[in-house]
Amino acid sequence: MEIFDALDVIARTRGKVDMDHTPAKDCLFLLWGTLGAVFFGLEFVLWQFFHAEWCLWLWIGIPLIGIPWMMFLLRKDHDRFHMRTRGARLILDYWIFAAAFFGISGCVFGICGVYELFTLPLIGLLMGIGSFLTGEVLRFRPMIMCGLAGVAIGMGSFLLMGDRWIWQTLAVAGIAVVSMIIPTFFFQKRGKDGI
Amino acid sequence: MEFEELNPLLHNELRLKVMVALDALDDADFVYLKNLTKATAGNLSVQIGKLEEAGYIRVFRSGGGRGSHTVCRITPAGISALLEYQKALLSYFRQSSD
Repeated sequence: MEIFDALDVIARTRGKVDMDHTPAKDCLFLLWGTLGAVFFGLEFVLWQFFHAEWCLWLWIGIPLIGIPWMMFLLRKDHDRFHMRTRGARLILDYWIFAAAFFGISGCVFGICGVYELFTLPLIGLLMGIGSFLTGEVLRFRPMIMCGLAGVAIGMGSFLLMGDRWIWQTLAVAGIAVVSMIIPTFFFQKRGKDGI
Repeated sequence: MEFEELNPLLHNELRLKVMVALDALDDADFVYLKNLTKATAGNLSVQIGKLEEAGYIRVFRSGGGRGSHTVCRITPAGISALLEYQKALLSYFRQSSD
Protein backbone atom coordinates (compact mmCIF):
# COMPACT_ATOMS: atom_id res chain seq x y z
CA MET A 1 0.00 0.00 0.00
CA GLU A 2 1.37 3.43 -0.98
CA ILE A 3 1.48 6.34 1.45
CA PHE A 4 -1.23 8.21 -0.46
CA ASP A 5 -3.42 5.10 -0.44
CA ALA A 6 -3.06 4.81 3.34
CA LEU A 7 -4.18 8.42 3.84
CA ASP A 8 -7.05 7.86 1.43
CA VAL A 9 -8.14 4.74 3.34
CA ILE A 10 -8.09 6.66 6.63
CA ALA A 11 -10.08 9.62 5.23
CA ARG A 12 -12.65 7.48 3.44
CA THR A 13 -13.20 5.10 6.37
CA ARG A 14 -13.64 8.01 8.78
CA GLY A 15 -16.12 9.65 6.41
CA LYS A 16 -18.12 6.44 6.05
CA VAL A 17 -18.21 5.82 9.81
CA ASP A 18 -19.27 9.43 10.45
CA MET A 19 -22.18 8.95 8.05
CA ASP A 20 -23.23 5.86 10.00
CA HIS A 21 -23.48 7.86 13.24
CA THR A 22 -27.25 7.74 13.05
CA PRO A 23 -28.85 8.71 16.33
CA ALA A 24 -31.63 6.16 16.81
CA LYS A 25 -32.40 6.86 20.42
CA ASP A 26 -35.59 8.82 19.76
CA CYS A 27 -37.76 5.75 20.50
CA LEU A 28 -36.20 5.43 23.97
CA PHE A 29 -36.86 9.10 24.71
CA LEU A 30 -40.48 8.72 23.68
CA LEU A 31 -40.84 5.55 25.76
CA TRP A 32 -39.41 6.94 29.01
CA GLY A 33 -40.94 10.37 28.49
CA THR A 34 -44.42 8.95 27.94
CA LEU A 35 -44.14 6.58 30.90
CA GLY A 36 -42.85 9.39 33.14
CA ALA A 37 -45.56 11.81 32.08
CA VAL A 38 -48.38 9.26 32.38
CA PHE A 39 -47.39 7.73 35.72
CA PHE A 40 -46.43 10.96 37.49
CA GLY A 41 -49.53 12.64 36.06
CA LEU A 42 -51.62 9.73 37.34
CA GLU A 43 -50.00 9.98 40.78
CA PHE A 44 -51.02 13.61 40.95
CA VAL A 45 -54.60 13.05 39.72
CA LEU A 46 -55.28 9.99 41.88
CA TRP A 47 -53.83 11.70 44.96
CA GLN A 48 -56.40 14.49 44.50
CA PHE A 49 -59.19 11.89 44.70
CA PHE A 50 -57.98 9.32 47.21
CA HIS A 51 -55.20 10.91 49.28
CA ALA A 52 -53.93 7.35 49.81
CA GLU A 53 -50.28 6.32 50.02
CA TRP A 54 -50.63 3.66 47.30
CA CYS A 55 -51.06 6.47 44.77
CA LEU A 56 -47.44 7.45 45.40
CA TRP A 57 -46.20 3.95 44.48
CA LEU A 58 -47.52 4.15 40.93
CA TRP A 59 -44.03 5.12 39.70
CA ILE A 60 -43.08 1.45 40.08
CA GLY A 61 -44.97 0.96 36.81
CA ILE A 62 -42.33 3.04 34.97
CA PRO A 63 -39.42 0.56 35.33
CA LEU A 64 -41.78 -2.45 35.22
CA ILE A 65 -42.99 -1.48 31.75
CA GLY A 66 -40.00 0.55 30.59
CA ILE A 67 -37.11 -1.85 31.21
CA PRO A 68 -38.40 -4.86 29.18
CA TRP A 69 -39.55 -2.50 26.44
CA MET A 70 -36.18 -0.73 26.38
CA MET A 71 -34.31 -4.07 26.17
CA PHE A 72 -36.44 -4.97 23.17
CA LEU A 73 -35.79 -1.61 21.47
CA LEU A 74 -32.04 -1.72 22.16
CA ARG A 75 -31.78 -5.24 20.75
CA LYS A 76 -33.66 -4.14 17.64
CA ASP A 77 -31.44 -1.07 17.38
CA HIS A 78 -28.22 -3.10 17.64
CA ASP A 79 -29.52 -5.60 15.08
CA ARG A 80 -30.07 -2.65 12.74
CA PHE A 81 -26.81 -0.76 13.18
CA HIS A 82 -24.29 -3.41 14.37
CA MET A 83 -22.21 -0.79 16.14
CA ARG A 84 -22.30 1.77 18.90
CA THR A 85 -20.80 5.24 18.88
CA ARG A 86 -18.96 6.80 21.84
CA GLY A 87 -21.72 9.39 22.12
CA ALA A 88 -24.36 6.66 22.36
CA ARG A 89 -22.31 4.94 25.07
CA LEU A 90 -22.00 8.21 27.02
CA ILE A 91 -25.73 8.85 26.75
CA LEU A 92 -26.56 5.31 27.84
CA ASP A 93 -24.20 5.52 30.87
CA TYR A 94 -25.76 8.81 31.97
CA TRP A 95 -29.31 7.49 31.70
CA ILE A 96 -28.38 4.30 33.60
CA PHE A 97 -27.06 6.53 36.41
CA ALA A 98 -30.23 8.67 36.33
CA ALA A 99 -32.46 5.56 36.36
CA ALA A 100 -30.53 4.04 39.30
CA PHE A 101 -30.94 7.31 41.21
CA PHE A 102 -34.63 7.36 40.33
CA GLY A 103 -35.19 3.75 41.48
CA ILE A 104 -33.22 3.93 44.73
CA SER A 105 -34.50 7.33 45.80
CA GLY A 106 -38.06 6.36 44.83
CA CYS A 107 -37.90 3.34 47.14
CA VAL A 108 -36.36 5.34 50.01
CA PHE A 109 -38.92 8.09 49.43
CA GLY A 110 -41.83 5.61 49.58
CA ILE A 111 -40.65 3.32 52.37
CA CYS A 112 -39.71 6.15 54.74
CA GLY A 113 -42.86 8.07 53.84
CA VAL A 114 -40.96 11.34 53.74
CA TYR A 115 -42.45 13.22 50.86
CA GLU A 116 -41.36 16.77 51.58
CA LEU A 117 -37.87 16.11 50.23
CA PHE A 118 -35.82 17.27 47.28
CA THR A 119 -36.04 13.83 45.64
CA LEU A 120 -38.60 14.57 42.94
CA PRO A 121 -37.10 17.94 41.93
CA LEU A 122 -33.70 16.20 41.72
CA ILE A 123 -35.17 13.48 39.48
CA GLY A 124 -36.71 16.17 37.29
CA LEU A 125 -33.42 18.05 37.20
CA LEU A 126 -31.54 14.88 36.18
CA MET A 127 -34.04 14.33 33.35
CA GLY A 128 -33.56 17.89 32.11
CA ILE A 129 -29.76 17.70 32.35
CA GLY A 130 -29.85 14.33 30.55
CA SER A 131 -31.79 15.78 27.63
CA PHE A 132 -29.46 18.78 27.52
CA LEU A 133 -26.36 16.55 27.46
CA THR A 134 -27.90 14.22 24.89
CA GLY A 135 -28.63 17.25 22.70
CA GLU A 136 -25.02 18.42 23.14
CA VAL A 137 -23.60 15.02 22.21
CA LEU A 138 -25.87 14.71 19.17
CA ARG A 139 -25.38 18.40 18.34
CA PHE A 140 -29.15 18.85 18.10
CA ARG A 141 -30.23 22.33 19.14
CA PRO A 142 -33.99 21.72 19.77
CA MET A 143 -33.07 18.97 22.24
CA ILE A 144 -30.60 21.29 23.99
CA MET A 145 -33.32 23.95 24.33
CA CYS A 146 -35.90 21.42 25.59
CA GLY A 147 -33.31 20.08 28.07
CA LEU A 148 -32.69 23.60 29.36
CA ALA A 149 -36.46 24.15 29.72
CA GLY A 150 -36.61 20.90 31.71
CA VAL A 151 -33.75 22.09 33.93
CA ALA A 152 -35.62 25.38 34.51
CA ILE A 153 -38.82 23.54 35.54
CA GLY A 154 -36.70 21.23 37.74
CA MET A 155 -35.14 24.25 39.48
CA GLY A 156 -38.58 25.81 39.89
CA SER A 157 -39.97 22.63 41.43
CA PHE A 158 -37.54 23.02 44.36
CA LEU A 159 -39.88 25.79 45.48
CA LEU A 160 -42.76 23.31 45.77
CA MET A 161 -42.05 22.25 49.33
CA GLY A 162 -44.18 21.81 52.44
CA ASP A 163 -47.91 21.40 51.77
CA ARG A 164 -47.45 21.81 48.04
CA TRP A 165 -45.11 18.79 47.64
CA ILE A 166 -47.66 16.80 45.58
CA TRP A 167 -47.29 19.41 42.83
CA GLN A 168 -43.73 18.13 42.43
CA THR A 169 -45.18 15.02 40.72
CA LEU A 170 -46.93 17.25 38.20
CA ALA A 171 -43.68 19.19 37.66
CA VAL A 172 -41.82 15.93 36.91
CA ALA A 173 -44.59 14.90 34.50
CA GLY A 174 -44.18 18.31 32.83
CA ILE A 175 -40.41 17.85 32.58
CA ALA A 176 -41.00 14.44 30.95
CA VAL A 177 -43.19 16.11 28.34
CA VAL A 178 -40.94 19.13 27.76
CA SER A 179 -37.51 17.50 27.78
CA MET A 180 -38.27 14.00 26.46
CA ILE A 181 -41.48 13.83 24.44
CA ILE A 182 -41.28 17.16 22.58
CA PRO A 183 -37.62 16.69 21.41
CA THR A 184 -38.64 13.28 20.01
CA PHE A 185 -41.01 14.98 17.60
CA PHE A 186 -38.25 17.38 16.50
CA PHE A 187 -36.02 14.34 16.05
CA GLN A 188 -38.56 12.54 13.94
CA LYS A 189 -39.19 15.68 11.90
CA ARG A 190 -35.46 15.97 11.27
CA GLY A 191 -35.41 12.30 10.21
CA LYS A 192 -38.30 12.88 7.78
CA ASP A 193 -36.75 16.05 6.37
CA GLY A 194 -33.46 14.18 6.01
CA ILE A 195 -31.45 17.00 7.56
CA MET B 1 16.40 12.74 4.96
CA GLU B 2 15.07 10.24 7.51
CA PHE B 3 11.59 8.74 7.37
CA GLU B 4 9.78 7.27 10.33
CA GLU B 5 9.12 3.57 10.02
CA LEU B 6 5.51 2.60 9.32
CA ASN B 7 3.95 -0.02 11.57
CA PRO B 8 3.72 -3.07 9.25
CA LEU B 9 0.68 -4.38 11.12
CA LEU B 10 -1.29 -1.24 10.34
CA HIS B 11 0.15 -0.69 6.88
CA ASN B 12 -2.42 -3.04 5.37
CA GLU B 13 -5.64 -1.74 3.84
CA LEU B 14 -8.06 -4.06 5.60
CA ARG B 15 -6.45 -3.86 9.03
CA LEU B 16 -6.17 -0.08 8.71
CA LYS B 17 -9.87 0.23 7.83
CA VAL B 18 -10.81 -1.87 10.86
CA MET B 19 -8.59 0.18 13.19
CA VAL B 20 -9.83 3.54 11.88
CA ALA B 21 -13.47 2.45 12.23
CA LEU B 22 -12.96 1.14 15.75
CA ASP B 23 -11.08 4.31 16.69
CA ALA B 24 -14.13 6.38 15.72
CA LEU B 25 -16.65 4.07 17.41
CA ASP B 26 -17.19 2.69 20.87
CA ASP B 27 -17.62 -0.81 19.49
CA ALA B 28 -18.65 -2.53 16.29
CA ASP B 29 -19.63 -6.07 15.50
CA PHE B 30 -18.34 -8.37 12.80
CA VAL B 31 -21.28 -7.70 10.46
CA TYR B 32 -20.70 -3.94 10.58
CA LEU B 33 -16.97 -4.30 9.90
CA LYS B 34 -17.64 -6.77 7.07
CA ASN B 35 -20.09 -4.36 5.40
CA LEU B 36 -17.76 -1.41 5.93
CA THR B 37 -14.62 -3.05 4.59
CA LYS B 38 -16.36 -5.15 1.90
CA ALA B 39 -13.98 -7.97 2.85
CA THR B 40 -14.78 -11.66 2.92
CA ALA B 41 -15.67 -13.13 6.31
CA GLY B 42 -12.62 -15.40 6.28
CA ASN B 43 -10.14 -12.64 5.46
CA LEU B 44 -11.67 -10.23 7.97
CA SER B 45 -11.61 -12.91 10.64
CA VAL B 46 -7.88 -13.53 10.05
CA GLN B 47 -7.02 -9.81 10.14
CA ILE B 48 -9.07 -9.26 13.30
CA GLY B 49 -7.19 -12.18 14.85
CA LYS B 50 -3.85 -10.50 14.03
CA LEU B 51 -4.94 -7.18 15.53
CA GLU B 52 -6.21 -8.97 18.63
CA GLU B 53 -2.93 -10.88 18.94
CA ALA B 54 -1.01 -7.59 18.82
CA GLY B 55 -3.22 -6.23 21.61
CA TYR B 56 -4.63 -3.46 19.42
CA ILE B 57 -8.24 -4.57 19.73
CA ARG B 58 -10.30 -6.66 22.12
CA VAL B 59 -12.73 -9.17 20.72
CA PHE B 60 -15.81 -10.27 22.66
CA ARG B 61 -17.42 -13.45 21.37
CA SER B 62 -20.82 -14.67 22.53
CA GLY B 63 -22.96 -17.61 21.46
CA GLY B 64 -21.81 -20.30 19.08
CA GLY B 65 -22.44 -21.63 15.58
CA ARG B 66 -24.68 -19.57 13.32
CA GLY B 67 -25.96 -17.42 16.16
CA SER B 68 -22.49 -16.34 17.32
CA HIS B 69 -21.87 -12.66 17.83
CA THR B 70 -18.44 -11.00 17.70
CA VAL B 71 -17.95 -7.48 18.97
CA CYS B 72 -14.64 -5.61 18.58
CA ARG B 73 -13.35 -2.70 20.59
CA ILE B 74 -10.07 -0.78 20.24
CA THR B 75 -7.62 -0.83 23.17
CA PRO B 76 -5.49 2.09 24.46
CA ALA B 77 -2.46 0.38 22.87
CA GLY B 78 -4.37 0.30 19.58
CA ILE B 79 -5.25 3.98 19.81
CA SER B 80 -1.63 5.01 20.41
CA ALA B 81 -0.38 2.66 17.65
CA LEU B 82 -2.82 4.24 15.19
CA LEU B 83 -1.77 7.71 16.29
CA GLU B 84 1.91 6.84 15.81
CA TYR B 85 1.12 5.39 12.40
CA GLN B 86 -0.69 8.57 11.34
CA LYS B 87 2.20 10.72 12.62
CA ALA B 88 4.65 8.58 10.68
CA LEU B 89 2.53 8.92 7.53
CA LEU B 90 2.42 12.70 7.87
CA SER B 91 6.19 12.85 8.43
CA TYR B 92 6.66 11.62 4.85
CA PHE B 93 4.76 14.62 3.54
CA ARG B 94 6.44 17.07 5.87
CA GLN B 95 9.93 15.95 4.88
CA SER B 96 9.16 15.85 1.18
CA SER B 97 7.80 19.40 1.31
CA ASP B 98 10.94 20.70 3.15
